[in-house]
Amino acid sequence: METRFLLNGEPQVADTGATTTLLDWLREEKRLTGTKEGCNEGDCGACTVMVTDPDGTARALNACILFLPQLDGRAVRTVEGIAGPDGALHPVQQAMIDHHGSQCGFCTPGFVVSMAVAHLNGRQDHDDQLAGNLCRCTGYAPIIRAAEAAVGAPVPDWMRADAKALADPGFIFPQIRTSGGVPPACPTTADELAEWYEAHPDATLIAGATDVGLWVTKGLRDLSPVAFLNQCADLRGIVADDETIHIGAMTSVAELGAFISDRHPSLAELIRRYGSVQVRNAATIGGNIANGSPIGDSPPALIALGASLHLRKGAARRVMALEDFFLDYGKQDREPGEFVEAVSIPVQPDRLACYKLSKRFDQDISAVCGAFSITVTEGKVATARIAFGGMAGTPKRASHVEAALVGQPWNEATIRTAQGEFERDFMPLSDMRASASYRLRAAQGMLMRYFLETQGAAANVLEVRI
Amino acid sequence: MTKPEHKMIGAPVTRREDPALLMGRGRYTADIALTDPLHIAFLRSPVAAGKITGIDISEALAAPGVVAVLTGADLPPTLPPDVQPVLDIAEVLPFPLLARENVTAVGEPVVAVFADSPAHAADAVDLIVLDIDDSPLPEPRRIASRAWRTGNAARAFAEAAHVVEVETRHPRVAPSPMEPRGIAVQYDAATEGVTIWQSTQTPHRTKNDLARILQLDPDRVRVKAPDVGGGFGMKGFSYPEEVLAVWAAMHLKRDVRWIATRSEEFLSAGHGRGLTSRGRLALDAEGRFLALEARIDAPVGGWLSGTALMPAFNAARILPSGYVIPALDIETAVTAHPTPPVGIYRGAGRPEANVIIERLIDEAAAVTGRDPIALRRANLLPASAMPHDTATGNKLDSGDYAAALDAFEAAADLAGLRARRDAIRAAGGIAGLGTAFYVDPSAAGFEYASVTLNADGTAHIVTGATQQGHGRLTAFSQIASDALGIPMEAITLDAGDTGTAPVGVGAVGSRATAIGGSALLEACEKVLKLREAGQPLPLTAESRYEVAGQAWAFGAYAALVQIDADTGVARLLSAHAHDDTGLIVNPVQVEGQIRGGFAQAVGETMLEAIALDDEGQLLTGSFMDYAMPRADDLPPLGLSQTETPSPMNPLGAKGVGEAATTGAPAALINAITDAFRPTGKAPPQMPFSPGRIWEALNG
Repeated sequence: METRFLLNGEPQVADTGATTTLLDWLREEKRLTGTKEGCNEGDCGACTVMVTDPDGTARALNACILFLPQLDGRAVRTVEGIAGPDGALHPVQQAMIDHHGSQCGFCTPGFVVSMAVAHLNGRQDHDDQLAGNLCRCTGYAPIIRAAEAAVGAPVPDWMRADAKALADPGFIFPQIRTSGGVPPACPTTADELAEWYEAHPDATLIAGATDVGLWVTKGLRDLSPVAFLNQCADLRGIVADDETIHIGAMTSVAELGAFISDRHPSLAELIRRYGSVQVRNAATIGGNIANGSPIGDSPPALIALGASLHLRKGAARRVMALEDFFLDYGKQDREPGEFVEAVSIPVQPDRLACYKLSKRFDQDISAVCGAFSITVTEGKVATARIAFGGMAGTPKRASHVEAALVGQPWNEATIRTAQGEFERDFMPLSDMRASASYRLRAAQGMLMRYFLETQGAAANVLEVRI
Repeated sequence: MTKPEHKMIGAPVTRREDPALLMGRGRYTADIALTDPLHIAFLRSPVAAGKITGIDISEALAAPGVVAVLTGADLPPTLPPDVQPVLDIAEVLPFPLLARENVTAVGEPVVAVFADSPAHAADAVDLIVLDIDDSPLPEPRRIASRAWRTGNAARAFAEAAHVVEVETRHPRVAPSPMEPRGIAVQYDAATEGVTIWQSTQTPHRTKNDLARILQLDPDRVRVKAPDVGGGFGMKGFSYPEEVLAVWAAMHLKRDVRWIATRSEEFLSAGHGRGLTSRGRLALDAEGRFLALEARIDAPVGGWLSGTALMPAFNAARILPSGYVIPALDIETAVTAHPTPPVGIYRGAGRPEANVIIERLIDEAAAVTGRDPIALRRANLLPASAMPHDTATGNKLDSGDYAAALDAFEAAADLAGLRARRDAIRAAGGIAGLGTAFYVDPSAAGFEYASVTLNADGTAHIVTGATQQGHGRLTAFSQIASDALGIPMEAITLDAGDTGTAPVGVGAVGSRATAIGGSALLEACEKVLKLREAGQPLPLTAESRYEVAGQAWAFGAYAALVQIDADTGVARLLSAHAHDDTGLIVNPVQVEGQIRGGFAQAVGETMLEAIALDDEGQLLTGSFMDYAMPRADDLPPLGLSQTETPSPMNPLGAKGVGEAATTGAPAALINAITDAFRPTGKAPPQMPFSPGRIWEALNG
């Protein structure tokens, strides 16, 4: 099939299979070898590229799990396009030299692109912006120093060229006849998607490809038929009124994090630890839910917020409590041809606290991820919604714990009693991430921590790390 | 010729390598252009032990793009690589390029598919039918050992005022250079020879290994190390996959490329560490060390690389470190397991030796109520004793160890760190301060260099010393600039090509600056003598320089850790590195080596572990499951340095690449141990993950 996009400022028409990754295409077809393959599953960031949307938004993405059709109508800038057309170094490149930020140089192109995108977007949270890039040589400090040193430098003109070109109403991608095979579906509206998917219920829907990408690069699976959802504009975005926050399925996790930070800062903090910048920029909220992973980090928080899931099959729509979607390990309440259209959460005062335990702070699979939202009225628990990831084969509510809390006075004795109910709600596994007893005790500890926080003790996910 | 006024050696110059690397113009093995190459994908053993009863390759052979499918039966007889005999070897393990009758580890290559693209090769692997009769996992067995004994340790322990004991299990770790292994083989029909670009630290060793394993005329092989994306020891020996790629290129008369996937790296590249050690230290009533006993058990996997015994050797022979201990009773052994291979990894036994002695000293300090630093100072070799021969065969060359501790105590502000620890404890928290002294040798042996002085004022260096991020071009330009009196920019470097350096070793064992730099210095001096004798330009002089002995770096590390009792999360609050690594050629690069080494020490101590289940299956097969440190995992690290030139080489340099991975782990473990001490609980074994710490606190 054909994909039209800008590559380092030059219009391209790529004629490839639907699941050809940008990384393979860059290295094998274009012989642009600056972009490196370090893991081929979105964990290391050595293949980071800058992708600019038609609306001018520039993001860092992992090229190894980015299929070419996802780029249609966008602009890509690789490390070869970060220095100026005349060879002038970008300020982050010069800073990397000045601060000895490169040793073996293999992760370096990925860092340079991540740093250049952060620099363009005016981001100064360097640890977070670079958490998706692994380096084995430097110990990171010199790279962080380089990022800090480049903050004040003006953004070079060429870094804004892609957004300008895409915004130019006179700009049209060149039309070239190509000889692609059966093209994948690229619906542009939810209605088109609904119609197509109902007719092709065995198809694979590709949203951000942060998981589906691995089915191809690691699982070597043939996914056809596939549909790419990235052009379904009406599935993307967040709309809020006085009662409901409506989140389109194609909204990226990064976009949700930015939107929710004022209303539910603990969820925003959780999202900050949830994949790298590159993964959050690609991953969608709909994909994260539909995937049904027992250790996905967004479902527990959304369940605690009382989220509803909006499913659609053809013209038929249904709405369910999010927790009811997860039936069993690997099994969701989703019919063939049915897809996640949106998730909605009621507007509410913020009582949410999310706690994530993992062996590493950034970008790691949770051993236990707990989310709590408890309302106390006149000293007694009025409502309690508590949900966990990593404690069962699905994201799951702690119904017995909730029942032990509701109606009881909000004090330590109630908490102690409720802690005993965790064993009735969960029978966690022992695996290499944590033992069953650790998971259970940690979950109990999280409830106590939530209680203590409401008593003014500082104990959220960040502060426990000093 | 007049020399520039400023000495380049010691100057903090930025790297000449960087602009190309920063713009994506580095040229790594996967980037080398070949002619119509074949790509290899391997079918690997899914079980740790079993007998191969059938392989059906017919469908794979017919798959699109497939040119050849090879099994062990298709290959000629091969020999195992020469294993460095640093221990007494009882059994040399077989080194099949592809499994023949039996498989000995999960991930062992069984069938190799050669196709016109990596994707075609991988797809065809799926079409192979492999039948294996599983067998029970064999018991681990001892294949090599060695002991060192001096004095009467038994009597010393019997009569000692105090005896302390520690046992340490080091997790297996994945060295994980960001560039996976890879080899690009160019076949030359005219000579029936091959030119090889390999992601390696040791191209000359590869050439020797190929000649021995394949019984080849070495003249048919030229090995070049292009840009190499990190090595850390893991790329300091030859792998079956790489040897097979070379044989196949000659056999199929085609260019061949193999680039390991990250999954293959976790499964079949050399793991590091994994040792278990037990140590006992005897002290008299005044706190003088009387005797040290150490028992080391080092694992290896299904096959042995040439350097596979080094970790077991170093973990024993580095003892008794820089201390005066009259009686030693040290035994080390190597045990073969049905697992992926284990090999050298940044430090290669030195960290483990250092952990034995430094944990024992901290334990002794606690038991006898002494200050850990004072106890060390009282037992370290005096500067007047240098050079000093240990009973384990080391010649400690230079240094005032006690003075280094004084400098460390001040630079690290140990009093301030102790006050921070005590403040956390006073507030009801759990915190620990750990310190450790270390010694760390730069390898012995030789390196090659040649220098050509050109009429236009430029100079060209050829060296056997390779680079995998060390900044060799920059450091060697600094050395040659001073020696020849020409600007750095007038110097070009050709490193790690067996076609231009007739002999060489490479970059392993923290050797390249001390030995390779000294070879370069000697070649520069020779070429200047020729010039002074009136010979016309261009002029070339060579050096095959062998050091008089190992140059021993030394120093001390400190770490302050806080533990969250409710979750078991350990947070490093602060750390300090004090190093004396001899003459410093480039302080910026020295800092880079210390910071990078420290990050790896934090990784192996706090985060990283290869997990294998009871059936030998790998559980940590990706960066999602294997916890490499990220920026946020590292504490602020203070640095201080002294420079005691080594008398062992004309440059006066010592090794720095392994200083931090050798020095820091003991300090980190001692910090966790110190944190646990007031709780009355025993600290867990590494890595100090939240789960392990929590279990230890609540167990």
